[in-house]
Amino acid sequence: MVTINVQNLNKKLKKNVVLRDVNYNFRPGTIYGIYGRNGSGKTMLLRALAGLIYPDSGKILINNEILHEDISFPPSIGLTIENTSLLPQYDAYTNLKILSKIKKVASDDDIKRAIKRVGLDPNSKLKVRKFSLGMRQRLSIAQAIFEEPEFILLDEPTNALDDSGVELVRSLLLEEKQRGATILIASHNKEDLEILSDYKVKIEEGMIVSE
Amino acid sequence: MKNRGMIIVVIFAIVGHSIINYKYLSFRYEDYSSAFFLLGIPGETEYTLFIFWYFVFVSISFYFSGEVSELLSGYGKYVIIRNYHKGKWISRRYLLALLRLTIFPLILMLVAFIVSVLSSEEMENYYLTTEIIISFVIYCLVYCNLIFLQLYLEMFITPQIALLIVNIYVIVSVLLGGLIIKFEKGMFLMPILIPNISMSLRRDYIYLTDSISICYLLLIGLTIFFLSYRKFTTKDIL
Ligand SMILES: Nc1ncnc2c1ncn2[C@@H]1O[C@H](COP(=O)(O)OP(=O)(O)O)[C@@H](O)[C@H]1O
Ligand SMILES: [Mg+2]
Repeated sequence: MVTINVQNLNKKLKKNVVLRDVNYNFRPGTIYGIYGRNGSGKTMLLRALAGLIYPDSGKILINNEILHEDISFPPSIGLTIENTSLLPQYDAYTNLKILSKIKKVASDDDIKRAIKRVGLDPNSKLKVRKFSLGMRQRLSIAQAIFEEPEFILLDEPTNALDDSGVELVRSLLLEEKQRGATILIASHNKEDLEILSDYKVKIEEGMIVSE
Repeated sequence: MKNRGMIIVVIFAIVGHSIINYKYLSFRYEDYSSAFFLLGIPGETEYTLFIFWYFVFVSISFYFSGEVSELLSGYGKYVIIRNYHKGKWISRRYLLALLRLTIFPLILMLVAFIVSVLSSEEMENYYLTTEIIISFVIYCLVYCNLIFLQLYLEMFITPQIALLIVNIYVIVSVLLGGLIIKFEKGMFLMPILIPNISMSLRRDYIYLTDSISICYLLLIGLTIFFLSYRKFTTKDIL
């Protein structure tokens, strides 16, 4: 179980304010839907929570440990960031297998189960290079959940998915929620968020404006 | 992921370098046993030697290219968030680089030895002196400094540009070093032309004693490492 506590977070990139005084608590067993227009800062907020960007001021506490001071990244995290592909020269299984060697918490069965859960075939030898956009999206979601992380951040997870894909993600996230994960989904599609999330969080010009 | 096939080019460069060194230097500097590569290039740049010397450097430089930058964008995100201590990760990377940069010259030494044995020398010509060992350490340190610099630059610019900058610096240093020695002007520039320090033939001109050279190189290496550590742990990964 992991609680995320964001305090007065500010971040500028090239003089452009991308996060502005963000304060929020994210609790376990809950799905938060972050929505807002293109360029409003959804992806930036996920990057900040994942420890990928270094804040100018303010801090992020992961179970009371300070990000970038006590720890570099949340210890148990699964993440997708839009437009980030897995390795095109390998098939789905090999891609997750390579990543699994870093933390060594997921078995071969875990990898195959995760690939099945997103509706792909774990035994297929098709290389990611030949995947459709929707298949890539499914695989990156599998990549985010196969290690059963406590903190799951999904950036535009339903962008390239059809209705059945959205339904699949929904049931998958409900299971992860039952497990006690803290889940954030960023999307510009408010309808998908209605279906997927418990709370909606609106972001505008890097600022959280409503809950 | 980077192309590890580069290692074959490195080995190829090492073998070529050893053969050329043997051909050019063995009759002039018998006291260097078979480790002629530690001599480097004589004061006035001999271009055949220089080309093969540089071939070793450029292949190693390619081999390390992208080592740091590949983690700082795209797919690298999915790798780095699973290595949940950035400081430890970068330290391990530099340590591994140091290790590999010791192994390459060791291979060079071995190949050089084999080449001279094959050229039917008498066995009593092969020995290891303190001078050779110290030269070896200096050689490794110079390579470390240059590669650390390249990896550090990758935190700011693309790996291709980082590689280009370091390689231009190396070429200019060696050529300029040759000119400085030839015309005996501008000696004070030598300490910043680090590649020259790896060449025992040129160290004699620079008036750097071996122990000062080692301290100087260690200081530079540690400084680059410290800067890299600080930059890497605070860098945005977009
Ligand atoms: N690599 C980058 N460098 C500088 N600014 C960026 C970069 N990526 C995004 N931005 C800026 O950050 C702001 C928020 O972007 P982002 O979080 O990607 O928006 P969203 O995901 O909500 O569409 C935008 O103003 C965008 O221009
Ligand atoms: Mg976005």
